[in-house]
Order: sequence, then structure tokens, then C-alpha cells
Amino acid sequence: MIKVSETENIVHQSQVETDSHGSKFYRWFKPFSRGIGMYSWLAQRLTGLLLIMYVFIHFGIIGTMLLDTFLGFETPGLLYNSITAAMGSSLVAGMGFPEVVESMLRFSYIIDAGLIAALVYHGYNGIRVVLFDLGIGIRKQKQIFWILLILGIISYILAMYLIMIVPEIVLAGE
Amino acid sequence: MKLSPSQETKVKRFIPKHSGSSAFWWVLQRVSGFLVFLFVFFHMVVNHYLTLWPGMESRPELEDGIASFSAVQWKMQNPLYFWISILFVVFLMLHMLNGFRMVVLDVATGHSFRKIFGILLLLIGVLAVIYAFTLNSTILSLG
Amino acid sequence: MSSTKETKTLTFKIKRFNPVVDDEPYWDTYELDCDDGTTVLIAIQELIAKQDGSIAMRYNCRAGVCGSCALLVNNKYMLACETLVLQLNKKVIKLEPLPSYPVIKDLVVDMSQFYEKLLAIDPYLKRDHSKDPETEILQIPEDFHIIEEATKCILCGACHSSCVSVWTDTNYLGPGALLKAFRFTNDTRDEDRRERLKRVTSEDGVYRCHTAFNCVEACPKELNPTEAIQTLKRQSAKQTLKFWSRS
Repeated sequence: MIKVSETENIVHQSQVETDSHGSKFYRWFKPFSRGIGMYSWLAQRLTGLLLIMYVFIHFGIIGTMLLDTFLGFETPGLLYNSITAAMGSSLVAGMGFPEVVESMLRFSYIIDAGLIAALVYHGYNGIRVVLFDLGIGIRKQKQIFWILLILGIISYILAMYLIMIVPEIVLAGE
Repeated sequence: MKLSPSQETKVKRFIPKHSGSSAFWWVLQRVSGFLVFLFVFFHMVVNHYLTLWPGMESRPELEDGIASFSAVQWKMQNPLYFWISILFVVFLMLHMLNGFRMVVLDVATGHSFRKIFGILLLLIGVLAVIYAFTLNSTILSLG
Repeated sequence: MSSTKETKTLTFKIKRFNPVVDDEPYWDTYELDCDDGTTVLIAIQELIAKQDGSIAMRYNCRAGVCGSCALLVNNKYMLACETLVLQLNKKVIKLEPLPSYPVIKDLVVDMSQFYEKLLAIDPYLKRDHSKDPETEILQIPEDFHIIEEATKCILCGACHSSCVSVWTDTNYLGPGALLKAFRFTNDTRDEDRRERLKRVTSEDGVYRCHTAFNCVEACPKELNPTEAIQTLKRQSAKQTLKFWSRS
């Protein structure tokens, strides 16, 4: 038989265990009783972290403009220009694809596709969060999410069209 | 309302540590977020579509493409571009590093850690702004 | 129990855990005939009475008022006494204790953390009683309307259990306590508004809420703690940042 005071002790120990078990952030990804609000928050967080990584990489690449000068190259911007040229070159150049496909499949475009998706999502969902902070539409949060998602998809297609297709049309016209 | 002494210590543990700066950062995160939204739009337009504007295609600086070094140098001549890009970095850093702080503070609860971490991020932000200023003025001086 | 009603045999999967003897939680499966009047609570009571007396379950009023029987039913936060099993439209009904609370036994969790956080925001009217009128202190309906929803909270603890910020930061007050804080801060009879707002102005106070709306999703009474927290955030920011008028 276990005395009452002893059981209290044992329960107390296990409480500490389950407590620490519960404070891990993998719970964010555990699927129970979750709505669209939770998913949008999680996506906001992940896109935010991705964009932070991108900003530092971007800083590094544009920093090569300085590197040239400090390394004492004759022509400033040589390293920078070669990096941007490499990023802008087609991934499937000389592999027998049609010219349109070749010009679309550039490394920089693929990066842009992901970057702008993250950017548009983070921005539009940010607007949604700011609306809630102003006290607007808290009870209509799901509808607002879907409306902004549709707007976001439209903006994304428009942005990708302007980045990938329009320059081709302009270049073809010249 | 009377609490037993043991209860009182348990309850006191959950009285949050007052910090007026938390309210400040909350407001700033919203304001800077909105500004970054506008700045990003400007950044995209200037760095992707400038060549599409009438009269721009004949500019010799933009010959090698809009992202080339000569194009960047030419854009940097404009003081508006120079200062807007620095302001962009300022607000981007505020928004970005405070956002990162929010994520980290969710899992890290120690008060002293939070303080040190905040100072560290502030330092990174200041360094980034100095970096942006140095970069811009060096590019300008080369041109 | 009327025998004229249509009955259906349902499977109940209950998460069992006794920290005194078990190392890991495990699932027990039971079969039970249910009619359209059977709630989850009645089903558990029948299981305890007829099949397994060792199941532990906490309940009190059986009418959705006391808030002691909140459970995770098929991964949704529900009050066991209010949920009709046939309306779930599932053959298998999965019952779990509220997540993120320490388990005492089976479906019973230790909610002391939730109550301590509630006490940390002083959940009672504070006023200078020497100036009180002889009669009761009246409130006009418009003033009551502001806090009406928040007064309906039954303290079942489902919101606190579902909150993403509570999962990682156990010091965060949580939606339940902050809903109460909203209820007293915006009560026109309360005279401690400034101090109350100051108390929730913290990294572990209102600003740890990231509007994931899990508490709204979880609340069996369909209240909106997120809206209350957002209002508190604005009020707290207004008070804190108005440094020129600080007394």
C-alpha cells in the first residue's frame, strides 16, 4: 500500500517531467484542435525566418561590390558583375530546350519565385495581423485570411509576370 | 482575498515582470512592418522595372542590365535612392531583428538572457546600418 | 435511460496514464451502446460503472457550468458533459486529457498553474469601499455589454492548454487569465485600471500573444479571448507610451 503522502510525492515528480515535456516547441507542429489562425501564424513565422536568412545572403552578395575595391582590382564591380551574371544565366543553357524555356529557367528566377512567395505571404498576413491589432475583423479572421490569400496569389502571379515575362517581351521588341 | 503563504509564492511567480519597452516594441513592430512593406515595393520597382520606363532603355549605365555595377552606381547618384535605401535598412533591421527576438523569446524565458539577447540584436542592427552606409558611400565615391 | 431510442455501438479509445505505476501513457479501447441522449460524460460514467472502474475522470455539474470536464475529444477541445456522442458522427471516439497540463491520472490533469496565473491578475473587483453607496453598485447595460462575454468564462482551462505561447513559455499568463484581466480592467466599477494594465504590460503578459486564435478554436463556450487580449494590448500600449501624462 502507498500512503497518501507518498503518492503526493510521486505525482509531484511526474508533474515536473510532463511540464518540461510540454515546454518544447515541437508542439507547434502537433496536429490537434488547430484552425487556420494557427497555420497562418506558423507560416508567418517560417517565412519570416526564411526572409531573415535571405536578407543576410543578399547583404553578402551586394557586399562583393566593396570587396573588389578593397582587394585592389582595376575595374570596380568585377566580382559583383560576374556573380550576378552567373546567377542570371540559364540553368539549362545549351541543352536543346526552346529559347523561352531557357530564358525562364534561370537560377535568379527560381530564387525570386521562392523569395516573392515568402514576401507576399509575410506582407499580406502582416496586414491581417495589423488589422487585428487595430481591433478590426477579429471575429472574421478566417474570411480575412482567405480574402488576403486570394489577393496574395493574384499579386504573386502579377509580380512573377512582371519579373519573368515582361523583360522577355521588351527584349524581343527591341 | 487571503492566500496561504505557499500559495502566495506560487502565485507571485506568475506576476509578469513589468516592462514598458514591450509595449514600445509591439507598436514599433507594426509601424516598421508597414514601412518595410512600402520600401520593399519601391525596392522591387526600382531594381526590376526601371529599364521598362520610357526613355530609360537608351541610358548607357543600364546597358549591362539593371543589376550590373554600373547601373547601381548610376542609381546611387540620386540622393533619394541613397537615403531611401539606408532608411530601408534601418526599418528592415528593426522589424527583422525584433521579429527574430519574438521567436527566440517564445522559447527562452530567462530574464537575464532576454536582456543580453536584446542588446546583442541591437548591436547587430547598428552594425548592419553602418555597413549599409559604408557600402552606399563607397559605391558613390567610386563613380 | 429510455430503451425506445435508437442505439449504436461505439468504440471509445481512452488515453490512460497513472504516473505512480506507468512509465508511458497507453490507449485502452472500450465498446459501448450509446443512444442519442448519451453525452461523452455519461459514456465515461457507464464505462466506469460497468467495464473499468479504474478510469479517472473529473466532473461536477454535468450542465456545462463548472468547467471541470474539458477534454480533448477526437482532437477537439470539448466539455464532456455537453458533447453528444452520436453527433460527433464517428465510430471511434478518442478521449485524451487536456494537453500541456501535467497528468494526475488518466483524464484528470493538474490545473494549478492555470489557477495560479488567474490569481496573479487579481480576479476580483478592487475599489475604495469607504465611498460605496448604501445600496448595491449599479452598472448601466452599455457598460456591462463591454465585459458581458468575458464574464461567461467557466474556467475550464481549454484555452490555456491550446495556446501556442503557453506551450513554449510557461510564464506567459495565457488567454484564460488575460480574458479575466480584460473583464476587470474594463469593468466600470473597478478602480484599479492603471495598475491592472501595468501588470499585463510585459513580455510575459499581453505581448506574448501572437494571435494564432487557438484559444478561440478551443473555447467550448465560444468566447473570444484573442479579441480581449488585443483590446488589452491597445489599452496597455496607450497607457505605457503616453509618457507625457504619467502621474
